[in-house]
Amino acid sequence: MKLALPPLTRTHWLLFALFLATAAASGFFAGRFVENARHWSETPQEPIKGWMTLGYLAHAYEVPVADLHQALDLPPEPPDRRPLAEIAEERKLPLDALRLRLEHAIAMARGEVARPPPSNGASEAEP
Amino acid sequence: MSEELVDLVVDHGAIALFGILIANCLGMPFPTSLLLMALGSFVGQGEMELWPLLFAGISGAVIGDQTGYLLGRLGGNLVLHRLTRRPRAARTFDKAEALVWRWGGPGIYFSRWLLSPLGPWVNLATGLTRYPWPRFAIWDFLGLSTWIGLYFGLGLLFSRSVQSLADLTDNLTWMLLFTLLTLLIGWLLLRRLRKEATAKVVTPASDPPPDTEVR
Repeated sequence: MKLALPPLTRTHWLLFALFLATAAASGFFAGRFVENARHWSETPQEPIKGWMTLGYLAHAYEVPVADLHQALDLPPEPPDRRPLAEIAEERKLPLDALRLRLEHAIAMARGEVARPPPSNGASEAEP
Repeated sequence: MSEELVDLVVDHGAIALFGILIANCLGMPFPTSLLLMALGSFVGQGEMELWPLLFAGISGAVIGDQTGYLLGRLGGNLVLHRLTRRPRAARTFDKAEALVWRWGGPGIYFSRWLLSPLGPWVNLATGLTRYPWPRFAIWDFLGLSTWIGLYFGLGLLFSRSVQSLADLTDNLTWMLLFTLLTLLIGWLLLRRLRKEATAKVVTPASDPPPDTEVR
């Protein structure tokens, strides 16, 4: 007694195509997962995103929150709790412009970039 | 989208989280993993209080899921009414119902947090197939508590790396979901081929036609 493989119908091919598509999607997300994990282990520093508040950034980068307020010309008190995207929108600036200023302020607070002399510090804080 | 959600909760507190999770559990594709972990981080920094957020989050998610289940149940009654006139479709529905009843508990639990994109569909499917409500409610509550507790906890624990962690968990979720789908489709294909092959059992007495390929 032998089993005969039935001729492949359109349904078989459709299921096979779906199988390949979902397997490919699975591989794609596995690749991204591995890439994320590798990136996180190599550079554990957070990328600056629009949802982040100045408080969160100060916490993540371990810098004084007042320095970040100063970088955006905001008064340190009361602390600004808005996400960066909202601050950028209010100022009609692209988020990247704020990101550059904050990255510079973070680098200064960590001593990676020399602080400007106190006399003209405010103007030279701009990147 | 993430910035609007974070802004809403920072401005309006727990009540905003309540509303966001109702909409999310009804199928709105909000980036809630990131939101919950960001809130966990804010709690860790002392900017927000944990208990109101936890209570509002679980309550909102439960209401959203229960609404989905109820919609499925109402739809199920309509479907059943129509199926009484179509016996073949009714048999297929009975099979689907048996499948949901068999796998319902773990399906509900894991689709709350590990395979969360399936959540709203599982709510509809369980309601549609008249899965017992008390069992749905218990599995749903357990799954949602795991989801919200786990993501708040991750935010608290990795409070300086919320974005990186959210990227990681999102990709993990989609990877698991597509792997599950791949296995399911592969199983369906194999089962179909095997079933059709068995139906065409060739015995030595019955010679195949000359142009049929026999393996």
